[in-house]
Amino acid sequence: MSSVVTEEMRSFIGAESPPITYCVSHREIARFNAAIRGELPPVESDPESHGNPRLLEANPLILRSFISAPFDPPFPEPFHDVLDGGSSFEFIRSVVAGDEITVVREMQDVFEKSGRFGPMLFKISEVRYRDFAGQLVATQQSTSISYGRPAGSV
Amino acid sequence: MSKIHFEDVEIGDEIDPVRQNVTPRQLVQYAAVSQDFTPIHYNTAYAQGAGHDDIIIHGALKTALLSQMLADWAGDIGALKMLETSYRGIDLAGEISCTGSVTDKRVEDGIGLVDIDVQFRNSEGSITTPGKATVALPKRD
Repeated sequence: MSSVVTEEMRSFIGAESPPITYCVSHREIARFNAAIRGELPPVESDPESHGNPRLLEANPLILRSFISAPFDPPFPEPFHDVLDGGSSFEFIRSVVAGDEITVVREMQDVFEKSGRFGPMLFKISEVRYRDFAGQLVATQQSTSISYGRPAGSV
Repeated sequence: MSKIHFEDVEIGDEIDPVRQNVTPRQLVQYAAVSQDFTPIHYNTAYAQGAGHDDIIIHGALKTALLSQMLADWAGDIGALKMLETSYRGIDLAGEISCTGSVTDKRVEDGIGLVDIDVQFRNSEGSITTPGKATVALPKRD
């Protein structure tokens, strides 16, 4: 049985995505934090409420909403369905309102496993998050699993 | 918000758990703020077509709920330094809980660090997402 991993896919190991920058607002943090706590989003957030720094500090996982740009050229994804296999974050500092976060993803490995959904493609990557000054805010090692229906079939 | 110090923590201590009813509305809300619009998280027919029983909770939302538990425990002056999670089971929307316990503590470069095993549990209490975390806590001296 042939592998779903091709030489073209392997050629992406070591490749980096183009950098993309996100400006983080107080409102965006308030909405993200509300979504994690299962609360309705605030009608408006109060940027004057600087007395409590927690009101301006984002849940650390807001970093996941800063999606890296697609690889150029794009990765030749064989499957349509995608699962998140897990992640490992190192946090250097919190994300706060006013931050400008630049995101770059580096592909580190591509391999195949067989599971309950048939052949599954595993992609291991490291995502680096840097602030306006170029200082590292956090890194994420992530595992993305694609499987099932062929890409473009749905 | 608690103000726990490094000296207050003992190996074996339990982290204050989080219990939450993750509703379809919350999954839609999370999809919007995270930009993860994969339909298995809000479209039942699509999720079933992908082999699931119903819509499933975003993996990153499970990690975010664990991080929120740790941030609330660490308080205003503590900081989450590392969080690693492994998604070993699918979680349908519904009652969930997050738990954790202290496995080690140490001082590095004058900073108090606490290692914690964390667990995301489904409505039956089964662990679907285990993980490890390190939290920095202030020292009294």
